[in-house]
Amino acid sequence: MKAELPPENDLEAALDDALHTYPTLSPPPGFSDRVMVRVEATQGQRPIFSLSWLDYALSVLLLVMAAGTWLVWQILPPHVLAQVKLQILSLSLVYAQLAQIGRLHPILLLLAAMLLILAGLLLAGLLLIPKIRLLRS
Amino acid sequence: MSKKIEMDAKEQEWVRRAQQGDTQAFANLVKENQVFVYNLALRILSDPVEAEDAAQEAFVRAWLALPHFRSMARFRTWMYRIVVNLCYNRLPHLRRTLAELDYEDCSELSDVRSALPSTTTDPESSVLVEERRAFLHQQIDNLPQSYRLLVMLRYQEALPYEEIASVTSLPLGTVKTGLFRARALLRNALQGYEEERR
Repeated sequence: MKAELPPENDLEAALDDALHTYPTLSPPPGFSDRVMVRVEATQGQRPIFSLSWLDYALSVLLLVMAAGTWLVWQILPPHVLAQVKLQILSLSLVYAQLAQIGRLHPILLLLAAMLLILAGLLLAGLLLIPKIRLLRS
Repeated sequence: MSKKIEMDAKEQEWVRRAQQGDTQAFANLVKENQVFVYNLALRILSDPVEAEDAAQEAFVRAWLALPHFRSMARFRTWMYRIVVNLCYNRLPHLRRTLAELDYEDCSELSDVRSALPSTTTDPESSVLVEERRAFLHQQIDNLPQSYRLLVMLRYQEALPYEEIASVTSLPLGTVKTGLFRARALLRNALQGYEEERR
């Protein structure tokens, strides 16, 4: 007569027990010391976050542009300032008229948004890629 | 629980200091994680010399990449990812084998651990349980590397399925299928062992 196997639950329990008690093996003695010797040998290879000349140049350029705009705004004679404001207003009106070109309106807006996003991505890529390469090297 | 929280806080402090170039803090991280890292490398590569080299390389890579480490992730999980990638490089077929695992319905795969019947009062049963456990440990050693990797991460390192998928860069379904098949292989071996014993 064939003897019965243990019930399925007992097999599963034995399996779980074996999987959870699978022995952990320790590294050989002196392992961490040998790791640290190799780590010490890499001194100088570690990338350190640093700002390049391009970062400083861009920061200065942005600062100069912002300061220039503010200064020009301050020193413009009142009648020129009024003309500029008028131009901005008329431009916004032209845009508002353009935006009312029937069915093209949402498509134009979408295209403009896509162009802006694309330009932003291009600019970000141009600025960031050299930096990433620098950090990886 | 509080000990674990204290350890996590200590680890975060070591990571922060090591990111700034403190080698002593990194040495503490090595000491704290060396067993897990070496063990994982050894169980996948099955060669103590190669495993030690891979584990050392993993720590060196971690040191070099530490400035980019985001401390939202646990340091140990990050180390597992480095070890697994190193093993993929050393065993190119490992990633391929894992990626080729077909999807299988693994609804039987339970998170609940089944409890062994108590054998403390019966010495004979205790011996049998020990023998069966030793047999199964040997069978785990004999599993294909791809399954052993998943078994190690799931049962020895107690990682959730999602984390295993992230560490191994595999889809969640593939991880579950691999574990399901590993268990099926072990179950078949155990049934054969029990039949032979009777």
